[in-house]
Amino acid sequence: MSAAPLAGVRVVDFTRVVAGPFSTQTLADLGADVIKIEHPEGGDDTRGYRPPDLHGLAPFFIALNRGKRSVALDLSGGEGRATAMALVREADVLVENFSTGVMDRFGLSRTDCLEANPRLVYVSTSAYGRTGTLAARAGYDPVVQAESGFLSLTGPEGGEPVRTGVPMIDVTTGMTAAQAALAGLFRRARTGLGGFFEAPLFDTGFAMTAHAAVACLAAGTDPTRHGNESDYAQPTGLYETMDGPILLSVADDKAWARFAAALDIRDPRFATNAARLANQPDLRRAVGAALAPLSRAEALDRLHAADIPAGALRGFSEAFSSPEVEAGGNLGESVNPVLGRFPSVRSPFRFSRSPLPDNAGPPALGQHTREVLAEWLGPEAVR
Amino acid sequence: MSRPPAPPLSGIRVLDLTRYVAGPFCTMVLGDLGADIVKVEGPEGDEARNYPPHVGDESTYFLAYNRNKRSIALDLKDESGRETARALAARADVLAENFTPGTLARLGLDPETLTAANPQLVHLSISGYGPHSPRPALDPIMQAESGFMAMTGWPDAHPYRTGMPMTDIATGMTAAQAVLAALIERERSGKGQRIDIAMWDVSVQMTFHFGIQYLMTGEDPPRVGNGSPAAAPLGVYETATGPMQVTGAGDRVFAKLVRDVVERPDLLEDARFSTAPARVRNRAVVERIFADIFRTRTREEWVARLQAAKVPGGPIRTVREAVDSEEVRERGLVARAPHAALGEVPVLRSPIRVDGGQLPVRAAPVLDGHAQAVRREWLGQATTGSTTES
Repeated sequence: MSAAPLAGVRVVDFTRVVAGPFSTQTLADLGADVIKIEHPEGGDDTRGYRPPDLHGLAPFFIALNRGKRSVALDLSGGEGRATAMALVREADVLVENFSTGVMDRFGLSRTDCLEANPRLVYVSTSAYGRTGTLAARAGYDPVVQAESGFLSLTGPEGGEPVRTGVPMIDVTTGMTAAQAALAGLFRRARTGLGGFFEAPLFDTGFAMTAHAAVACLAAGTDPTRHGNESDYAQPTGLYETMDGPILLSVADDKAWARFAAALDIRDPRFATNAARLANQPDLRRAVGAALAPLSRAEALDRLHAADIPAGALRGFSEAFSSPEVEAGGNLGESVNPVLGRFPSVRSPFRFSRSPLPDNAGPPALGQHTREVLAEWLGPEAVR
Repeated sequence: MSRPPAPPLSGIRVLDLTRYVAGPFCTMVLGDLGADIVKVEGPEGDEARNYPPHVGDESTYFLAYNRNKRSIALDLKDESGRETARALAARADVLAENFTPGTLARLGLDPETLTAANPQLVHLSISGYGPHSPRPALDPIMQAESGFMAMTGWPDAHPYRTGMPMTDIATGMTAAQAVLAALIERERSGKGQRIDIAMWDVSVQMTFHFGIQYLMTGEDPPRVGNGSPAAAPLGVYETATGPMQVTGAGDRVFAKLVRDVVERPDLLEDARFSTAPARVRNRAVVERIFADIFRTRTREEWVARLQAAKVPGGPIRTVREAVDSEEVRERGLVARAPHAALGEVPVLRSPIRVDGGQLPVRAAPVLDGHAQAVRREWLGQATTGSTTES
């Protein structure tokens, strides 16, 4: 009988809003017992990012807090702080994403916590780090997208850059923080010692410029945005069909030969990638004219038969009822016995031996206060 | 400065058969955390070695996704190459691969055989659409088909994919989490296991709250460009010296914005602007007023004022401006490391810090640059001749 990878791991979760809650949701997906500490009045702000709402909860909160239990504690008072520290003593992992200095004011600094519990993996998801001259600056996904250069790479060539609709720097910072927590747990399994781990928003945002930053630093290029096209291979990008746009990519000359045969394009000016790059306006017209009279299904059939990467540009109504979603089993439901049922996107983890926990729904504010205090601290903690 | 921390994955051996981006990003994360990553490349090398731009003969694209790894070239189409791969897999803690499903089985390197020979092996397969689909995966197409891309761009035009291959990168990050979780589990059970991560599944998860919102309402959420349906002024503004981003959401922030940043307290007394709902109703006027004001001074001046007033906002930098920025310098996010062919190369650092210090960093390897060291250290084979490897 196997257990979930993080079965038995206790996480005390002081995070709010996006990046932090995503990291602890990942730990919950992997089987950890995640206790979300929230202020008794209102709790995590994302609970109220309405409309729309379902059972009183907004999409952000539902998307980022499944599988957690909520404990309401007022950390501005002595009693709440004492209870928080008692939970920290019992925890394997602590994750927080307050502004620098806030956890210190709560009496929950990394020094205090690691002294009370040397086996604790203390993870800070800060904005610009917990030390150094930028430690006090607050962090926001759209601002870090802008400052890191990440935003400049998305949008129309020659036009205004556009931020990603999904807050990708929050998302990837949450992933980085989860990696840090997991690395800390692994090290602890080998050494018995916890430690202090950081996954700052800005540092992650800059890391996401990956090959663009390295090209600039090493080769002196000035990377920028190219719409939906590639600046190295053509044809690429969005093309219209009779009933909706498709996105395609012809990466090299062998692929072009198959592509041109599938669409019956015969033009010696397009024989090589270099020639296609040099004749882009004519190439775009020729490919556009070949695809425009086809239905989208016919166009994709022909391109897939020719082994050309291509796909439909979809909104959610189409994406979420697609054969790929059906085959992937991506959609499910999570259940909170008190609040009701919630729609859920399944985590992408698939292990051969370790089962993953059932999809428990997002918690109501303070729903599990008594239950958790009794379980973690003993029955005398709940009078 | 504090001494470099002991990397958390010290002593963990990863046999890395991945190519392109998603797989290499995963093993790069494990390498950042201190694992010994041995990248097995075909005689021609990872296909990403051909991706431009190059410096000398080295692809900057390859350099970006393969720091903290060693390279050994093996021809898996040849029995002696496969034999070496099997011997390395027998001594590995983790094997990572992102071949088209079925490819390694045809070469006799299927997970069943490898995990039978090494029951402690954590075997990671990254695929496009799961282990039973041979369909190839490409980042922009994943973005388009999953609905993720539909949220980026303006409401009256086609959406845009992210410039960076974010479904590739997120897949690599997710796979790294899964490997770490399996290693933690192995400490308890003593057993390895197989992990399957599909780029498609990660792409659907990345629709995030928008996907949940659609499932709640049955309606596609609208794209909002750089703005927000819930707040104004908010978005991208031109200044005298370049674009910047400002988020003037909420009454408290708006008050700071008009008093301390643009010094127009009169705007607070105008009924059209005095509350958040009023500003949303009068968005066109609000945005025009702020667009006109922001054009009058330099970006540096506005950003300094925004930061002093704690109003969210910042410069929209090109990548070149970003690599030269104060933030990147202050955070120490670019290092230089020795490289066998180029002498020295710039390397980005992991965003993870451990016990107050940054993780050690080595440049991406040249093709087959560590064959002898790997054969010696992993397989106990005697070395012959050359000792030029770094």
